[in-house]
Amino acid sequence: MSDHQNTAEYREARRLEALARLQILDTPSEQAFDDLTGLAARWLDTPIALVSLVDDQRQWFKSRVGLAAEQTPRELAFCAHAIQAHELFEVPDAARDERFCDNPLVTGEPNIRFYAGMPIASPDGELVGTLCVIDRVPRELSEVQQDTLRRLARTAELQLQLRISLLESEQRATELEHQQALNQRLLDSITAGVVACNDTGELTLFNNTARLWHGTDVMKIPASEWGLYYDLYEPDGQTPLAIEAIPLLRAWRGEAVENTEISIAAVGQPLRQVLCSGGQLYPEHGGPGAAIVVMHDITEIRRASNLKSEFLATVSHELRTPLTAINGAIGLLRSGAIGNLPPTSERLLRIAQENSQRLGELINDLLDMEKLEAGQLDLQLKPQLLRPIVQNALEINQPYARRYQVSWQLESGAADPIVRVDERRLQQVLSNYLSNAAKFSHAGGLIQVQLLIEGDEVEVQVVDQGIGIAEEQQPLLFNKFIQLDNSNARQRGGTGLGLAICKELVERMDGQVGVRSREGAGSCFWFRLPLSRAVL
Amino acid sequence: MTALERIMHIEDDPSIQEVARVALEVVGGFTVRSCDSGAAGVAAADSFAPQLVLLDVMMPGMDGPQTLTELRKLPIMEGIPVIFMTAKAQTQEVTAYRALGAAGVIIKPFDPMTLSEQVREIWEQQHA
Repeated sequence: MSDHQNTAEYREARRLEALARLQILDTPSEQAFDDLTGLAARWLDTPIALVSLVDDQRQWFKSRVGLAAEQTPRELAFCAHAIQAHELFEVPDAARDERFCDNPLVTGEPNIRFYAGMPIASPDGELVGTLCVIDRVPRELSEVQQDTLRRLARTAELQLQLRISLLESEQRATELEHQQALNQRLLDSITAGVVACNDTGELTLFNNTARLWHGTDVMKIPASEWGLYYDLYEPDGQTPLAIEAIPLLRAWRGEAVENTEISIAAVGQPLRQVLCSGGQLYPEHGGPGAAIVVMHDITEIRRASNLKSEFLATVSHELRTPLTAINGAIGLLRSGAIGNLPPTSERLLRIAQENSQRLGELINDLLDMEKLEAGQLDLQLKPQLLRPIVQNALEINQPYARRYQVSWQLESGAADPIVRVDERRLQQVLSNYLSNAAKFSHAGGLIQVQLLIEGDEVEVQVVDQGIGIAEEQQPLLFNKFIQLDNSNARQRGGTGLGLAICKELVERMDGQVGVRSREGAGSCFWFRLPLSRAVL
Repeated sequence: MTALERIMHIEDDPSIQEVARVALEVVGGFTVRSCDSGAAGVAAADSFAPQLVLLDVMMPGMDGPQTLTELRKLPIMEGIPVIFMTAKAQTQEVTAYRALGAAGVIIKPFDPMTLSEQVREIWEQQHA
């Protein structure tokens, strides 16, 4: 403890703070304290008994017997002396005591001659006042009387403790009330619907937005009437939602509700699609319990997304049709089926064909991404040998290798793992990896393809000796519309969707994708698939 | 097995019609009758007597499946394989086309150099 904390001034400040915390000064009289002063005056046979609280400039009487004044100046107060120590303070004859002989309370009304005060401590141990008895004649307390005064003072302290407890619980109740009001305001002002129920499944919360979406405050009407205001459907907006599939009910049962989509059809409102998330509030209890569900209106998002899908499907169909004709016509010309072409014509037709094929690839990428995002791409997963799929991919992409003057090499190995995949889509992933490796390799480069079994997974690696990728750019590679070093990538073609599509496809086959690379030192693109235990 | 000679191609897009015709005639050596709508195909069936029909799925007016239904009503079309040509070739769509009675599905964009081969394969499967 520092010197400062030891000073009388500091101690007094702490004592006054403790007194203030009691919030007792200038409050109306209370029976409990009046009983104490009444008993003190009777048992100690004195005309005056007080519960005195020593304030900064005064002593104020919470309870008083035989005294008219509500307070007196502190400098005259006997009690100010009494609170200096934790013990009974007794003045047998004030007129003969040099500390008090000229005190106006001694020389005049109420003519104090005898004083005995027992300090009262606040719950935090500060001496805030006394329970005291006063007589107009000199006297002394017997030991029994002293003991009585001490016991009564202790009872006064218990009263102060009760007071603090009461104050604290009142404060907690007020804070809780404020918090609840704030929560209600927040819940009613947010654009998400929030609903909750208690342990017995009874609704306890149905905020403004939820009321709006359901066309009624369901908490105010019996459940039998809910159907008059709204119906719940599956995301298709047509199949009625089974009762056991209602998100709040699921949450109450203890299920985690994550991004569950349902439709709400309130009377007089357009169908609303909402995304629900929620769960039990106290899941550790086990069994059904209080739960909450938050709903977000995704009607507009769904509508926009459907429009986008339709638009893309239409546009891509419209684009594909002429491309089919262009590609076909050029293909026929270049095949020589119609007749031989002069070299310049052949060269120009090759350029035309390569570019129309590129355009076709771009459209396919856009469509694939769209289907993947919309969850409309159905994969035909079945167990099959991985090595033949890889070999096939190498053959299919041979024209790429020729164009970029690189060569493939499939590492020979004993491993012939079986994986559960969609062959066509895995070919697409491999083609993407291989064509990227070819595009970003130096002429004459070797691209190695490896199959490595690690635990219950197989990793397929496509390793090139090309330009490599800066470390900071690697995490971005599998994001949509990312092309690193844009000028370069444009020269080499691509939508920036290829790797994002690969990632989605491989993940849909329960695998992962990744890259290891150093700038200038080549890249290793890999994907990992779980090994299948199927016997072919 | 009878050799495949006469193919009817029903396709509303004139460019694709032409490319397919050249591919089938020049590369495959078939005789091709191109029709630019389902109705035109139905109308020409009797006179041309196709041995096989290549039928576009998405067409204005009668679409592919409707055209197939109409063709099936013609006695001359009894047992004649019809192949759908479509860009919409997800598994469930292919299953649906087969359920309609299609002998096969050729995915667009098609390769003109292998189109004849694809058609011949389906023909041979039908007559195996």
